[in-house]
Amino acid sequence: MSEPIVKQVADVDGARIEYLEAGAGTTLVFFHGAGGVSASPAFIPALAKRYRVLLPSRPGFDGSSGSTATGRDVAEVMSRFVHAVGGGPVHLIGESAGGAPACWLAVLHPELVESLVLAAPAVLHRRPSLEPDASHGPAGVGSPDLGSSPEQGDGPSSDALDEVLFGASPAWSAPPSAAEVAQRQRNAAYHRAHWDAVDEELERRLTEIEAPTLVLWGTADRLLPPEEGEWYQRAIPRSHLVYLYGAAHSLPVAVADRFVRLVTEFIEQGEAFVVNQRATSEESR
Amino acid sequence: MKVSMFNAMPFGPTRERTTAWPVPNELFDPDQAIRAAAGCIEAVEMADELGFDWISCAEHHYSPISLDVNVSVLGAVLTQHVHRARVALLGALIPLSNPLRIAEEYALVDTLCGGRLVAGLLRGAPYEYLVYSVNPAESRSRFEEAWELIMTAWRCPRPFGWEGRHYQFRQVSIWPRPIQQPTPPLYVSGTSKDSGAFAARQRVGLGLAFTNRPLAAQAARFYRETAAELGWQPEPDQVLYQAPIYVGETDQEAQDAFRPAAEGMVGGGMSVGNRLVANAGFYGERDAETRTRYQDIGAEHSRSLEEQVAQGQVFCGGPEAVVDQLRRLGEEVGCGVVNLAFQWGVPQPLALRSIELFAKEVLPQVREL
Repeated sequence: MSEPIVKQVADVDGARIEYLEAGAGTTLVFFHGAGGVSASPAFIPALAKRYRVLLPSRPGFDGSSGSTATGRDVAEVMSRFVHAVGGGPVHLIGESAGGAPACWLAVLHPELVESLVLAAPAVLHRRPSLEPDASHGPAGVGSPDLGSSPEQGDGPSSDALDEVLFGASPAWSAPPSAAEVAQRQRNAAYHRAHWDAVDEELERRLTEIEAPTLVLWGTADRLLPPEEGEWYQRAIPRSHLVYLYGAAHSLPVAVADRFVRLVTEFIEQGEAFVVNQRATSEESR
Repeated sequence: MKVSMFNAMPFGPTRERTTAWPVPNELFDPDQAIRAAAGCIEAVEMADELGFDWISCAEHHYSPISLDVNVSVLGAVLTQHVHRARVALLGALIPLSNPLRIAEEYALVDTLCGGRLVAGLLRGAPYEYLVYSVNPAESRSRFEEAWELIMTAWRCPRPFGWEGRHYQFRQVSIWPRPIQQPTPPLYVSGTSKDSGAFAARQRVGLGLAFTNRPLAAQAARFYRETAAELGWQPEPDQVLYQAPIYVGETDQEAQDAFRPAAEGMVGGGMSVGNRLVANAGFYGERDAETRTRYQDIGAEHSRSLEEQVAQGQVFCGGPEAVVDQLRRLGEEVGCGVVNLAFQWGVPQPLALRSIELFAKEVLPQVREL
């Protein structure tokens, strides 16, 4: 039976943070992408079987509010959430646009981050020097033509965008409702208006991240080139890069099973997750 | 047109003729195998000295048709005997092996020959799936994932892990990397539409073997059309055609010498294996055309030498006749590389003479095609 997903609100030093909570045990905090938080993705109940999962909406997204002048400001607000609600230190996941605040939090408050998972993070957002080269990138990599409508966002707003974000077989617990889709579009428009720029200071400071870090990227990511993963692996001292073959941009939804397995093994085994511990015979089980 | 000498390291005739597959290895003769290996090296050195552009080898199993079970092993040996030509591994059957092992070994061979490797990465004939007990229904998806993993291993400059459908690795950082960056020249076999489309998508060369001229022309046209739709144009060298060859002083002498080999080229047990695997789902629904092609080719192998020459399935004749056959091949298929199997069922002295005649009388004219 699935763990119930509960919608809650926290007041952290004057900031109003909406969040979803599910499960019990070791705390895992998930920083959402440009589309904000939704209860629909199947990875939430999957992770909640083992962990207490918190999915806060950052200030400006969904119903959350607080200081949003800079990326550092947002990270400070979220650090207070992690401390107050998460009881830090926690295992922190940043997906896509949630990668930048997750990295900032790991830089500014290493004491709150037990481990860090970055799923196709958007810190290097559209760096000209890292534009995908169709002749070198994995199959399918290229700049997708997603149009420029402000209504388009990090949610299933069109078939083309769905395919780019979630791939051919997205894993939803229940299909997102029309209201959820509309909210995602509003979130994405907000993100584009306020955060769609390179944070050069954060790029420089990634080298300060102390937490063991797992960088995940889909080889079929058409939004951000998979080759960017190499840059994070080089910059972050204790980092591992894993490519998920054939996976689209939004890994937690596009390939929920593989995402949950990798995150779980990384949290449980730490950097020893590189050791193959899967039994291949009855005798070794 | 560039010319490659295909070197399968054939064992030669067994003491009892058999059409079974796998061929029982009680028919293996150690002394004959040693002579076969030496004969292979002798032919390779001669072809390199005589100006062939590539020396190639391929992977096959459980049969005296070829003793080369691992192109990386034989390729490494070739690098020590081939000093001028490219060393073409055409190639490892990547769904049947550890893709990272292949990535490492190919990079090592490229290192050993100073960056002269040509890298063929193949899916394999259906019967090969019986060798290491790999589910043939997964052939296509294993091939495509193994391909992408190998490309990433060659290109990615940082350690990475791989969480795939068929392959999982947590730390990859191969040494050596290929000398040729980002990759050596790449080829896949492309007689089916799926394979041709894959080659076009990946912008790599197309190898056409175990086929005939009309079918190859059709496959090459599809590949070029698909490439054009994707916004690029393959170079002539990116279409390769492979077939057995025998060159004699005269047409009659060549036909007399080659007829027993050419007309004895029936697939035997391999055809049975191909059928079993095809019925188990190797081709899939999209590959219905390929299934038909295999049936056609199987039929053609029992045709007369003259019919096979007419179809471009083998090349045979005096020098002028062979030049004409290759000219027609070039005109119809548009291949920039022809991969020729000289040691194909003929005694070693005749094979060497055929190589020498080809180099002196045919090669200069073929270069101009």
